[in-house]
Amino acid sequence: MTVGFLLRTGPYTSQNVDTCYQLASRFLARGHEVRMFLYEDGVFNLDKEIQSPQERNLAEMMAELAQKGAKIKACGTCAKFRGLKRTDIIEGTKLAGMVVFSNYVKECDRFLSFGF
Amino acid sequence: MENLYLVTRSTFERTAWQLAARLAKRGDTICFAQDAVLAVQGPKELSRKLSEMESAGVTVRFLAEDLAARGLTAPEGKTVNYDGLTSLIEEAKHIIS
Amino acid sequence: MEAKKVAVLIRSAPYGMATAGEGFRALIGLVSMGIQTHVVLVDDGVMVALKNQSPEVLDMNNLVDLYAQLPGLGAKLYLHHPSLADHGISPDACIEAEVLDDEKLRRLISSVDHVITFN
Repeated sequence: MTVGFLLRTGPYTSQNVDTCYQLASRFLARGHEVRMFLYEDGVFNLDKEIQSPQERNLAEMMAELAQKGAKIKACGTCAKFRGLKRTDIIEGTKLAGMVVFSNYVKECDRFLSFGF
Repeated sequence: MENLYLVTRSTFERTAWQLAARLAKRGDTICFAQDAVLAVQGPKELSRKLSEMESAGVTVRFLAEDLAARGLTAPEGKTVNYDGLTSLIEEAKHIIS
Repeated sequence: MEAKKVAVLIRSAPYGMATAGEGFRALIGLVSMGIQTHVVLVDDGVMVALKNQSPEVLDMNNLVDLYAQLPGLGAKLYLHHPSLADHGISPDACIEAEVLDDEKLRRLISSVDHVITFN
């Protein structure tokens, strides 16, 4: 099956991104497909300049999910409003519009929303 | 399972849990994760409501890792770990957070 | 493939958080891509439907005007009655929308493919 995530909160602010990572990792390990759409401050979870000495690196965790086959896209408008550029985000992920979000919703068998 | 209600916000500070409590029916599951694992402590209004819901056939679960991280414990048989939550999501038609 | 149906629950009040505004942008995306979209204002989200909002005093976009456009755009708008009652708001003070009790909301949820929440 395909499992979709909407993640609306930024890194090192809420446990949401960790919960998404834990669940997405397990879905991938079970052979499911994962789609993740990062919205609002959620786009910052893909910032490739994240440095977190002696702490989990959330951008690296996102990169690991992408490498394992999760499709991860961040809202381009949200990125623009926050000064985050196409070239600022980790490999294997992209900025995208609401068309991609809608397609993720269409493709998914299960959908999870993480906000405030 | 028809619906999995996933509550993630503190049950003391926020009222997000109340929608799950209103809507959950026999066969549904309500799972408390993140700060919502504080639900094991209350508030009293919630504890009462959870007993009623369980009598009415709603399954109540607390995420084991989030309990452990916070030094909390849930009654035996009421916890689910991340693997179990993954299975609950597989089984649910809708996940409502 | 048959058109997907979703229920979008807006659970947050307007202006204090970006949730109701960003939720609107997301659901417009869904509608424009042919997804059958049912928008339910629930919890603090019912405040979005209150008439006579003046967010221009905050230099913000008017959300009730945006949500009022939804039916014309092909999405259905609902108000959760217990949330209105909890907030002391009469449906008459709100823009036109179908009012749902818990049972009707439950039925709406069972009729859709996904529930997307903005809380």
